[in-house]
Amino acid sequence: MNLESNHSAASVSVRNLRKSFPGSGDDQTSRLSVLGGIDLDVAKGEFVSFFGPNGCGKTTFLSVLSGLLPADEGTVSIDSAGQTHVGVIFQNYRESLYPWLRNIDNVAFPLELQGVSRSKRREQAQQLLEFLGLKIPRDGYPYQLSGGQQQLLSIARALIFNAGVLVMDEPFASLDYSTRFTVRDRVQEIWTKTRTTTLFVSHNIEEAIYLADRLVLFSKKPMRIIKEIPVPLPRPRGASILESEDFFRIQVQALKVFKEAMLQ
Amino acid sequence: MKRGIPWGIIVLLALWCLLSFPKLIDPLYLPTPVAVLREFWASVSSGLLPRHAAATVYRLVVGFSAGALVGIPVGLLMGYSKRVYSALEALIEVLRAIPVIALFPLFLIFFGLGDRSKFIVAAWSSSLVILINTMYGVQHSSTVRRMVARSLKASEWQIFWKVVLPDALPEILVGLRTGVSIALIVVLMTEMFLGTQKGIGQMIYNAHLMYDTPTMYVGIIASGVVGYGLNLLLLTAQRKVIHWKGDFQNE
Repeated sequence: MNLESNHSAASVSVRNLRKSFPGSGDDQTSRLSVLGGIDLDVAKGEFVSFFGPNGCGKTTFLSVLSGLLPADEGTVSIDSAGQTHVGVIFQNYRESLYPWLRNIDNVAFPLELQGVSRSKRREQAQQLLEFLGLKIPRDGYPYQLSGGQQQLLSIARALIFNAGVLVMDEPFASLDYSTRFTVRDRVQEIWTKTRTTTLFVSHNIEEAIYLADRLVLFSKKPMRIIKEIPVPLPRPRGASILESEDFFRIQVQALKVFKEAMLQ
Repeated sequence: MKRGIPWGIIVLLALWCLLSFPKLIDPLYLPTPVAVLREFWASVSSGLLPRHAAATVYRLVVGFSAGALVGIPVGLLMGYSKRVYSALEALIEVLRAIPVIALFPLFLIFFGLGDRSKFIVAAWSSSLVILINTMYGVQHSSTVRRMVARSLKASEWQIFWKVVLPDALPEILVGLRTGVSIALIVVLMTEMFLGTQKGIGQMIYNAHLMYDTPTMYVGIIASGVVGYGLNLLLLTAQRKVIHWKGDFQNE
């Protein structure tokens, strides 16, 4: 495991991705198109935020990206030095960790699946937690942690999996308001340290811009990309950046494009 | 957890004293607590009660264990595989609808009057409830937890053993606790009527034939103690193993 650099980070290339599901009516032939042809390129180590309306198909998109759902048409290629794992961070942190495993064993779970011995995988997990600066009691259980800590634990688990790409599906949506700020900054820190390519879905435009190198706006179903907006704000970013003129300009531009698309 | 005062038991005992000491109810039907307690010590010191209790517990443990050994694996398979489920579901529903007592004479023909037929009824009745709970536990295990494992490239086999099974454990334990209570009922029932000299059921029934009501009450209380003890044992195991569903889980 090479933590110090982005050697394992992967680039992502999506071409004409389409996906539909059987319609809900009596008509067996009607299909509900969810992904209406998506083209996207993400560079190695880039942090890309996705923003779109409720139920636009973001979760479907992420599931196809992470290989949990097959696409109907189009391709997803994930390229790196042999590393194509995609780590998924789910919104529902209560159910994404395993409550019967100690915290350390939750982080080490991917290694357990790969058949690494207990002492070795615990050691690696411990090293990773120290590297990430996560102060989480190793012998405790996830349900004793706060929601934010649980979500960070999920991220650590995805990183030990040597994920070339991290996919985060509204990871902060179930957290309470004040926790979101601290967890947001921890995610920025982790990304700065590991430079893992990250695809981040959010319902919160401020949060989406705050973390991203680039903001991608999605349309309603069938989902397409309406616009991509670069976020060239300096890093590391802190709360003060939210009041900067550049931040404000990007946010206004994004919301304007978004509103126009919704009205169509 | 702090325990309150068990008012229910206190009131019941007071009521018993109130009715039995002034002989408001014929002592033949309701002896005083003192008489029952005296009988209790007598049967303990003579070794009679321990012998009866041991026989009942033995039948219960053998039958219940066999029931768990069948119920858990079949329940896991039915919960996990749609094909196994549709193959067995109707059969299980039919078997479940038959009261086990109706089958007892049949088991007697097959397995004789001895302990074997008693094991079988206990196993039969407990296995069905254990099976249903296990199946339910697997069917309702978290899809997110499975998806996480799938995204981490776990094999189907790993998902089953490392995610679905531990996720179903709380329901399996519920099945085991219900199963042990049912098995106790059935074992006592079979002991009352057929081919045995030992067992709490036999002790109660014999005392009944001889109008030895204090001994009857001793037997009834002993059966309650056995049931409570086994339930407590499983409850303790449950708290230990399923620590994540405890009182201290913060939500």
